[in-house]
Amino acid sequence: MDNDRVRELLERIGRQDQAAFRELYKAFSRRVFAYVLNMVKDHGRAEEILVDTMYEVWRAPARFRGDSQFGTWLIGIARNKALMVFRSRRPDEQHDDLDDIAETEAADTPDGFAQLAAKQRSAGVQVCMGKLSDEHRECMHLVFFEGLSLAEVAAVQGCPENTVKTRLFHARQKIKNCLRSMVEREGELPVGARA
Amino acid sequence: MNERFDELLPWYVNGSLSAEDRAWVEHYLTEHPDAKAEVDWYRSLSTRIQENVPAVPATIGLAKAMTLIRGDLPTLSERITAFFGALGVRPVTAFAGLAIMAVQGVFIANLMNAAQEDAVEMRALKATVTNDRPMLKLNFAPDAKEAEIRHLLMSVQGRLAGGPGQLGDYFVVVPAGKEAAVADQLKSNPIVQAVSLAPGLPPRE
Repeated sequence: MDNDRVRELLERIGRQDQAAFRELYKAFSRRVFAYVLNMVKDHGRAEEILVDTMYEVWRAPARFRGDSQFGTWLIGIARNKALMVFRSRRPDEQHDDLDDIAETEAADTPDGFAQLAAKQRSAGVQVCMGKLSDEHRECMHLVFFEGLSLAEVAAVQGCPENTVKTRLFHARQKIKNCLRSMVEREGELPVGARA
Repeated sequence: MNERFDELLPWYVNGSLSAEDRAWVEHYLTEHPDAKAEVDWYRSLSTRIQENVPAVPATIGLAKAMTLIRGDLPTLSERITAFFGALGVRPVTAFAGLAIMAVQGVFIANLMNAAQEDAVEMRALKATVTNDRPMLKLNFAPDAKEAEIRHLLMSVQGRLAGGPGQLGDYFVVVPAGKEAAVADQLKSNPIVQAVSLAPGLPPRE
């Protein structure tokens, strides 16, 4: 949905038009939900945050001034709400980063990349993404799922572009090494034991 | 691997690169065909990340959102009933209990007020008995120690005439005619928050 249509719907929402709200909601709910779920890793909480985020739009539609894409702006609101959930998280709900996996474990050879591309599975990527720190995982999601530009990721994460570059560099090194270890372990298993 | 290539690659794969940077990456790839393996890996990773997002309907949470915006939230009395119901108490019983607690609270507050009068008397013990005469009203920093306050008062030949009151006011008598000079001297002390001249002790509340 382009920003012109979004503006039209927001104007109608300003006049308490529920049909306009419903249309806007359906257009952006999946994206916001996917982003929040990647952050909080809990279906119920992600849904609550999505509802809360969209309710903000209903209460103050004029807050969107069109400086960015509406979807990116929405993600910014959802991010603040997700961070509040993080702050209230119990210590046992937090996880460790992939610090135990050296970032320069193996040389990046064309064959290595080809092997990874061919063998990495969605489940493996999900496991390795889940082991990244919150900021690294968010960065990977914004780049590879949302398709945001460097400037947009920096705006969402509220940090300089160089910080985004650094986060992305470390995140992809870690996920690459995590996947590589996983593929190697899988290769060591007897054929009958593989999934 | 070229550093610039490495830096631009994620944005090349997600399609957000400017035309100029995009052309640079493509030129680099023609000169370094081996680097295409990394591009393919990124594309594969991007696909896997997108596959991992659960397929949910666009209406996820919509019913809750509509309930919120229609103001269909439970009324206050419904929420109170639900709250006490969850505690296993009937609302009437709970309100009766609250009423008893309120009466007791008023009674205890009255007792505390009576006790406060005694406290004022206690605080005034050993203070200098003065007729109404100009004195200094002082407020000290919350972290000021009693010894520091005492030492400071001694250094200006001050004597405590009253306080500290409920707002932390100290009334200090200093040698006659030196009130303004001592006030200026005290203002610069880090433990003193405020100094002002007072015509005498305030009337008791």
